[in-house]
Amino acid sequence: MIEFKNVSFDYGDDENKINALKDISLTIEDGEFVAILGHNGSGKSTLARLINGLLAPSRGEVSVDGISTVDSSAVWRIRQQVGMVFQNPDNQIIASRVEEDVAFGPENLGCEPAEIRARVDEALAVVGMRELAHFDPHLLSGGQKQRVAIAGALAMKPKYLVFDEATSMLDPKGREEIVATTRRLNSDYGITVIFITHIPEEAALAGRVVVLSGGTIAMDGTPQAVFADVDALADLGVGVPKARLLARGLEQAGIDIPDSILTVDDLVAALC
Amino acid sequence: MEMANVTFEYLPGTPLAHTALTDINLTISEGDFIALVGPTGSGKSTLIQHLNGLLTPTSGSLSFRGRRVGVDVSPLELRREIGLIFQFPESQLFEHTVADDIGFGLRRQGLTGPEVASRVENALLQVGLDYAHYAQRSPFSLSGGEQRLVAIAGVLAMRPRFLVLDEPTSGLDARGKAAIFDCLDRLNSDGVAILMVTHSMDEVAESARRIIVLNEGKIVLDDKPERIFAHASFLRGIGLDIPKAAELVYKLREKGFEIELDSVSVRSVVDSVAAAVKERCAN
Ligand SMILES: Nc1ncnc2c1ncn2[C@@H]1O[C@H](COP(=O)(O)OP(=O)(O)O)[C@@H](O)[C@H]1O
Ligand SMILES: Nc1ncnc2c1ncn2[C@@H]1O[C@H](COP(=O)(O)OP(=O)(O)O)[C@@H](O)[C@H]1O
Ligand SMILES: [Mg+2]
Ligand SMILES: [Mg+2]
Repeated sequence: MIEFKNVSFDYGDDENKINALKDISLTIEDGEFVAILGHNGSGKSTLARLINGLLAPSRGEVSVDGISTVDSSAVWRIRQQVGMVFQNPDNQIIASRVEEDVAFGPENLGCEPAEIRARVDEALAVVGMRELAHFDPHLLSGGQKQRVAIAGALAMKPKYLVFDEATSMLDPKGREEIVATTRRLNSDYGITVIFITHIPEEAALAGRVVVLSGGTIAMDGTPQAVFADVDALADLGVGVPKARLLARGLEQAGIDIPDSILTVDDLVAALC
Repeated sequence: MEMANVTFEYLPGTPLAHTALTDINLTISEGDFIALVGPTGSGKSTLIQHLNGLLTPTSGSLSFRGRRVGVDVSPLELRREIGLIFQFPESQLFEHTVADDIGFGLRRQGLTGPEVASRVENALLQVGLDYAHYAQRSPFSLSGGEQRLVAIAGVLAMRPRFLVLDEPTSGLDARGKAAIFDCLDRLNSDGVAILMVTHSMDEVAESARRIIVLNEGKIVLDDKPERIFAHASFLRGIGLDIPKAAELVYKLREKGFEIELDSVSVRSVVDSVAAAVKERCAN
């Protein structure tokens, strides 16, 4: 379980203080798939970095499985438990062979060579990249590079994975690869996923959507509940799935349609 | 702007030689609003770098207003008329203030004081940023979306008649995307031709009046949006999406609805679908 208790975070010094998060309280249970939406600067990346202790709260407490992220004896355990995947695939790759890149984390943990081998093989298999283990990662597509980055995080055997706009530099095919991979990690491997994105269709696949605005939590609920209020989301600088916009347009044109529709297939079913 | 039989090869004559464009024929007219789409590696970025003379064709030719590029018109002259905005242009911002950054190209052209100031102010207005609020701020204190708009303003300050953008909305939030499209729509209604590379078919559906599809270095479709998306299965086959609005129409037709499709924007699809549903209920 990840828990934020009355967490605030300030960047800068006393004179130029930027209050990036304001008194956030949030609990994420094991096994959840939580999407986080919010305008640029709403505090999403700050929240992500607080989860694995890259940042320490200015006020309040962040805990992972009941242990505070500022507990110095637990820092390494938390880094291992909480994997991060960032936006730019090119900044996350260090080695010149895919498998070496994935081995980096377990090597740093001090694992035995046989254990490292087993972890790398498994992580690459999970993301569907085993055939490319010997490739130079720099020659891969964006989606493949991001899958290598995910494998690198998986090789640490994390309980939680945080994706900070990991799809935003990819083409539609690459995005689909990443979304499919993360859903599988959640449903088949029980990894808790925190998925930061600007793409409403991706957020709609989550079990829960949290919307940040100006450093506070503006909405928190199922995708159906959150995306029901199109105008409120627009005020928060957040879009809704295109199918929801189509459904709302039809509703305004006098056709009876529930406000829970998030996909074209649902919309077709409701109209037929 | 006209491209005639343009072929382009990277690293010709080496073992790494790679033909990125094959026999491209294309005419872009004043006031066009074109989306250039295609899978990764299909040649989109290579094509647009030809439009302002950054790359020259291996064979074939380009002409601008009837003058041959590289013969009657130099790449430098071309760059004055055609603004090219790369992917993630905000990574090129470097001056201390927004105003200095936008004015940089103008000063390099030899313009001074009041002329630079008025063009900078106007460029900010075009991208929808308030001069008083932004001009003296550091570009690095702005949000990603605002930085992108400042980078675009730097190109607009040169007053191009033709604007070419490589994935201008990628990575932006909903508000940032809307700001970019407001700006492009405004420019286009003032007669500026727009050609944008994008992956988002839903964006294409709302704005472009013409779509060019590239695949493996060749133009495979060049038509109005509502006609392009009739090739849904072909597009999916080469790894492209179709807009959700068009998808809805096709899926409803399969269910026996009779729906006209004269535009693929959300608004017009809603109107056509609503009419078809009401008609069906009345019968
Ligand atoms: N390193 C930093 N120094 C100062 N301010 C920062 C820094 N990183 C982020 N901020 C500010 O904190 C706020 C939240 O930023 P961030 O968490 O990156 O938002 P998001 O990821 O939602 O775009 C913004 O106002 C941003 O400008
Ligand atoms: N500088 C370069 N040298 C060699 N090949 C290149 C270079 N830039 C692009 N290519 C190749 O040319 C093809 C088209 O690339 P590009 O125009 O970038 O496509 P797109 O923008 O559609 O993704 C790709 O196969 C790419 O690998
Ligand atoms: Mg961020
Ligand atoms: Mg490109």
